[in-house]
Amino acid sequence: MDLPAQQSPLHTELESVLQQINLGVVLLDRDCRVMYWNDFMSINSGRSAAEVVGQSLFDLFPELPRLWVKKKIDSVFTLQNLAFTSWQQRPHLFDFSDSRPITGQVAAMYQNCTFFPVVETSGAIKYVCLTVADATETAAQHLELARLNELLQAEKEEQARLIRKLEEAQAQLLQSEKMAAIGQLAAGVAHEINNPVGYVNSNFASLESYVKDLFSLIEAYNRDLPSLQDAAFRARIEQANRELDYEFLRSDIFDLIRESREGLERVKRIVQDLRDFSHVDSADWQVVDLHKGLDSTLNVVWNEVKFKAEVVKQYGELPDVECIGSQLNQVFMNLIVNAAHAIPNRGTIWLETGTRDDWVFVRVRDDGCGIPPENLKRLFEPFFTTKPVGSGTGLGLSVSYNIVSKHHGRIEVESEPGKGTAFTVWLPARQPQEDR
Amino acid sequence: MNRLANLSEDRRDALQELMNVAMGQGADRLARLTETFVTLSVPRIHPVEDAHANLLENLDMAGQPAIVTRQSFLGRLRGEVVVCFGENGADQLAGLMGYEGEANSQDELMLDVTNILTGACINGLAQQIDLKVSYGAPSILSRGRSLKEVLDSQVLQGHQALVLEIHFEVATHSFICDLLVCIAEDTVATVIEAIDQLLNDI
Ligand SMILES: Nc1ncnc2c1ncn2[C@@H]1O[C@H](COP(=O)(O)OP(=O)(O)OP(=O)(O)O)[C@@H](O)[C@H]1O
Ligand SMILES: [Mg+2]
Repeated sequence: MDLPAQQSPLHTELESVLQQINLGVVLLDRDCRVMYWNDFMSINSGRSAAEVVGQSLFDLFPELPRLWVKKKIDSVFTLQNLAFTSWQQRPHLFDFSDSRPITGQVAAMYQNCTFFPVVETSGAIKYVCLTVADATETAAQHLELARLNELLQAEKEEQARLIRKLEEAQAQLLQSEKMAAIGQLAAGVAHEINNPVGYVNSNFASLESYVKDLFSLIEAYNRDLPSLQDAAFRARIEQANRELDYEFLRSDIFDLIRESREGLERVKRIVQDLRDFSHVDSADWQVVDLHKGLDSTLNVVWNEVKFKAEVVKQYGELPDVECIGSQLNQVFMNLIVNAAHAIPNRGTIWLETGTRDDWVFVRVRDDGCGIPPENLKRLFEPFFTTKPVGSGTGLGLSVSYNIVSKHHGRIEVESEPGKGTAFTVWLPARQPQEDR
Repeated sequence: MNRLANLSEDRRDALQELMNVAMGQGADRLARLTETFVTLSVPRIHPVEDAHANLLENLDMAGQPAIVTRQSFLGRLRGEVVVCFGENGADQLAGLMGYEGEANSQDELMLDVTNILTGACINGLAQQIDLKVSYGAPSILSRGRSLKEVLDSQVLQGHQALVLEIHFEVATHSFICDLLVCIAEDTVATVIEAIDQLLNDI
């Protein structure tokens, strides 16, 4: 290589420093021919200076990104400026093997490179110097840290997911305990009422026929009255008939009996609804008529609803749906109660049903206060409630959501603040075969 | 101490002139390198008294989210250049910079552009006042945040005494980015000396 004309006294020493320094040093001319190649480069590339000096860098290393390296070197010449490459963006400019052959985990040497102009005393630039620093140690540590970081991040996400699941499970547990308690209570009450109602009902049947018999007896007496000889006795009987208003009594007694039996029928129906609702008989998959479930649910919550809203049923044609009836009833109950709670004074609740494609829908719509947009996405979170402490646990919708998901269905909400809300439960008529 | 904040009119004009020449040279070299027409705006000089807060209010580029890179220049003239790229970084310049067909090189391309712009601006200035500077490797400072957010979140060392705002544009490739040249307070004296020298020479 050409060396400056006037040599400093340390010149030989400096050259051996350059030769032996733990850093790749290469001099390139404008055409990217190698003009100097130190030991670091020889050792790592396996090519001695004698082999490479005078040759084009690209002929020696065809794998180098030619266009890019050329641009780099041009920029150093033109701008008289430094240029850099970092292992982070371009890990291996030269394909040198790893500098930790035994304990290292990486396959190739990471490199930081610098290109800088070598300015002659005249101010002209004849060469570009390329230095190659081994960054494997830093890179390996950095990559290991990044890997650990990723691991931690993944673990954190997994934990967050588990916490969410736990919350859901807890919510579900709470709600199902609550429902089980209500169900048991309802079933117990229903059973207790069922017995007396049963015998009152059958007694009433006998009573009605006895009363009928009694009246036919009286009718028979009355029929023979005109033929009676004793005028005074006849007058006494007629007087008694008048005083007791026998005609009215006869017609009213049957009305009373009829009404009482109607009342008993109602009691029987409510008891049946309670049993249906709590499904003491079955907590299994069944193919059921959703309208029946809706009706019995509505009866159960009627007290909460009747002072708040008129209920308008707009039932379409529904196929029987495969479901766990008691669970869907819980969903309907919560939607209906929520609708009633959303109505400040008096309003209307519409119960709409129908089908679309293979799906069945049940919609509970109200003209209540509506839901502000910022709450919409939180509705199904466990424990989300806007109701005062003690009056809402905020579990209704989250549990409903889980129940409907278990039925492979979905819940949709539409709401306009001040106008009202519609919750639509979409269900497939039949469950997919595999997971029943 | 901070004499740049109350720079005399003469000195200010001289500094502006110095920077204009530096930018002219920079643009000329960039044009030769890329064989396209490039513009480096006439720098706006913001002498800053203390906190960077009032500086940020005066910067045009501070608002939008961007990718921000930085590079140091060292020596008797010391500081950092901060470059604000748009969301696409310097992708439009891939061809010009020899990145055709290089995958996943967005970051490296931006660092390259940062390095070239830093060199063009600082070399121009350093040569005129006859100083040697060296450079650190460029790196990415942040992504997806605006310059204002970035600078707000950094503890800025020895508040910059002089900030130059420069606009770089390659019209044919519809590429624009902005540079902030921040000169460290303790080397400001060097600049003032050079200005005075220049004023004396006239
Ligand atoms: N039809 C509706 N109209 C307006 N807001 C509603 C309606 N349905 C639900 N919400 C809102 O969603 C919240 C959550 O309802 P969710 O049924 O999950 O809990 P809750 O009714 O508050 O308590 P509970 O656990 O007793 O059901 C309610 O507090 C209410 O703010
Ligand atoms: Mg509720």
